[in-house]
Amino acid sequence: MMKFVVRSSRNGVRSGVITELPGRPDVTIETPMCMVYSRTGSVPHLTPDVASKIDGTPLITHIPINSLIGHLSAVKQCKKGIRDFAVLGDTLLYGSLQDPAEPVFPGKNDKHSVAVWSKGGRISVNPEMYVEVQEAFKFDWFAALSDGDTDKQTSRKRVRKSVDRTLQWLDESIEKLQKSDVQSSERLFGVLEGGFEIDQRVHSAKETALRPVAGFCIEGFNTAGPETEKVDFTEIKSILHETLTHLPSEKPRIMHQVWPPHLVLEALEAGIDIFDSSFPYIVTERNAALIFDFKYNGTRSQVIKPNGGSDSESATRVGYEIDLKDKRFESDFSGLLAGCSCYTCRNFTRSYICHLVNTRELLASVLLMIHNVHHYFEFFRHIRLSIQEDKFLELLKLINSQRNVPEKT
Amino acid sequence: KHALSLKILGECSTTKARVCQLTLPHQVVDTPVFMPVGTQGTLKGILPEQLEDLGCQIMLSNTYHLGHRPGPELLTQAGGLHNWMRWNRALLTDSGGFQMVSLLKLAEITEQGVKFESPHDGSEMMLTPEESMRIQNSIGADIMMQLDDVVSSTTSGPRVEEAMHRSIRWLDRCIKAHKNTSKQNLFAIVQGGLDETLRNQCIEEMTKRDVPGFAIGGLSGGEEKQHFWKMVNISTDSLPKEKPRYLMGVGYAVDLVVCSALGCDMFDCVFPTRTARFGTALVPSGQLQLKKEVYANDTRPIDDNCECLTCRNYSRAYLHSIVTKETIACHLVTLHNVAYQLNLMKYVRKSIMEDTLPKFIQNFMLEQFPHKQYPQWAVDALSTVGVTLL
Ligand SMILES: [Zn+2]
Ligand SMILES: [Zn+2]
Repeated sequence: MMKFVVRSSRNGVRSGVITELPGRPDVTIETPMCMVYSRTGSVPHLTPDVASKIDGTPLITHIPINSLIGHLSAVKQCKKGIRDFAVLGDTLLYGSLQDPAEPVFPGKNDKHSVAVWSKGGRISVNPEMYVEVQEAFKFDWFAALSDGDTDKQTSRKRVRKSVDRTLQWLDESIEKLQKSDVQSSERLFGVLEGGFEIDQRVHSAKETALRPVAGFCIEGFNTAGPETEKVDFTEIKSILHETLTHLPSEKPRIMHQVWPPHLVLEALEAGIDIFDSSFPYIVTERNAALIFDFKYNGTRSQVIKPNGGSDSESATRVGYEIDLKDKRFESDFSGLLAGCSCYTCRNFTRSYICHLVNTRELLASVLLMIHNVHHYFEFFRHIRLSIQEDKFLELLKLINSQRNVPEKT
Repeated sequence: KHALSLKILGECSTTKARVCQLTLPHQVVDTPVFMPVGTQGTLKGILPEQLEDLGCQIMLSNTYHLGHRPGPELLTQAGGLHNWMRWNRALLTDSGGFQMVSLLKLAEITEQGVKFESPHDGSEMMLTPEESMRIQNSIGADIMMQLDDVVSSTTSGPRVEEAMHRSIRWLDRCIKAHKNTSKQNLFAIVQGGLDETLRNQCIEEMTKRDVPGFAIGGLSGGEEKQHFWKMVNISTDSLPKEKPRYLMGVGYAVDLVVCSALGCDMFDCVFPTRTARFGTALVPSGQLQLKKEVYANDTRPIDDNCECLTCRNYSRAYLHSIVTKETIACHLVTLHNVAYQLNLMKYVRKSIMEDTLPKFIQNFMLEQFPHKQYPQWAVDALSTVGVTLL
């Protein structure tokens, strides 16, 4: 039986260890952690030989099912499901219903099914089909079928529907899964809904906690897509604070959205354990490179400004990223980020990447993705380290000092 | 002395094919060789390291594109293209003239050079042989091409002759303007359209110059294949044996095999990498369109006998689920297609060394054309070098 132990919980920030995963006694996962965002099982832009150049890649790969649900019959032929189909080796596989980086068009769910957007168009998924997908895909973990199509503007009535449907589908799925060979209590994550209605949120949390689920996934604050990186988290945070207390502490909590650094920290303070790496993907898609500083120990020997090179005058970095489309990088022969040990920074210059971006060459996304994903995983490593060293607040301060400041040109 | 040496390792006893070791400043290249095209200083999302892993020894970049962006000044600052793009092996650049004439509607050829309208600001610009050399010297490729007077291979009449003579004059200007002879090799380009006399005349003149290698130019532009192979054939008959022969713009599998038999050493073509983007994979029997529904449940790799990363790992069904949707589909098919081209040339070299090339060609052609509907030009070309198809 999967075990999740919370080792410490300070300022609301949980640090834990996951062990005894079904069929994987060898694996230990420390939280807070970030799963590897993938589409169709592959990290966007990176072939597996290139993806393997990223050090410290987490042991869980996140696969939004929309990218593969249209190929169910092909996956069914594979003995180990999606692991064989997409050649995924040893990593643990977690399936989510929606893709956090892809916009979901609202208003398409009904009482029987959820609209999932594949590249071929809309596919309506009902509990029966969802169970069929899970039997075929064989994820280690997966989020339950849920109606997360709510946000700040959604009416109370619609929010209640979303909570009720999601619970009803959960029961139907559990019933169906128990008849199949999927060990749902070790794999299935119940999904909490309730929009911005606190009583609905509490109801959803309490009810879901009663079901035999392996963990929880929190959604329904906004519909998926790149825009979620800009959400105002203040209200969400207080709602999370209040509702997560109704969950058992020994089960992990996943939340999806495009997570810029400060939101990751806010969500940690609200009690979230597991994130996805759609943020570095979104940054790559806008041809930018992450340069934010997470070295909270203040050992920065060199201070980096987004406009390239080092500058002893400047006290901190400004903003999280630099835009490689910017012509000022044309003749900048330094790496994306001084001191970064990623494959891209060890080999290529801003000048070359700027050229690739401006000539719209595919290698631009490859090189930026390697760096951005590496940087983001390093950020999470430093989050865990900061908790261990009791320096979380210093990290928080450092991140906030770089937040939302417009880039100087 | 030139910055290259050519050592003939083996010759086919039937055809004109040969295996050579071409030693260039950055790499020893085994010929006959296919050179993938990385137009803007990058090959379709593939890392230089991945290309090395495939066994690629030389690749091509385009002077017109690089001269435009990032431009020769930046390339010089960056320490040349090798350093900038992190490619440690051999590079070849074209002169920029062909791209200009084919990409820009307003290009006009004068004795001075190729006059064109700047795609930036519409101002009038001129690519002279001297300017082409200046840009190519800044790129620093192991092999550079002279600027030639490009006429369409379907043109006939006095314009062809004029272009041939002008190409010789421009060769002399290029030789004079080339500033880096110790590290870069300048190849002459044989012109003369589809006219045997003009081709021979051009070769006679050009071989008087001490250039390190020759390209066969002005072909592969939509001319009839019967004309194409004859021009290739007469060119390899008269070009000096001890210098490399580069057949420009040729890269379809059948063309590679036939023209290797005709005695060409080097080839380039955008087709294998360009077509990968649309999910077309090259296989011994021709091409697979991975988009097609028939591959949706096909658990086989693209090619059972291919050892590339893609074929070692992925099924046609998986590739089908991602082609034209995810960039990695493009990368995976590109890797395979480059591997296919390089393997094909490896088999050609191996059968030349074992002196079994005619047999190899027979089997290869039968696999490509299982109903023996061989293209007539290939039948004719191969029979002139003593190969009869099955
Ligand atoms: Zn880096
Ligand atoms: Zn292959």
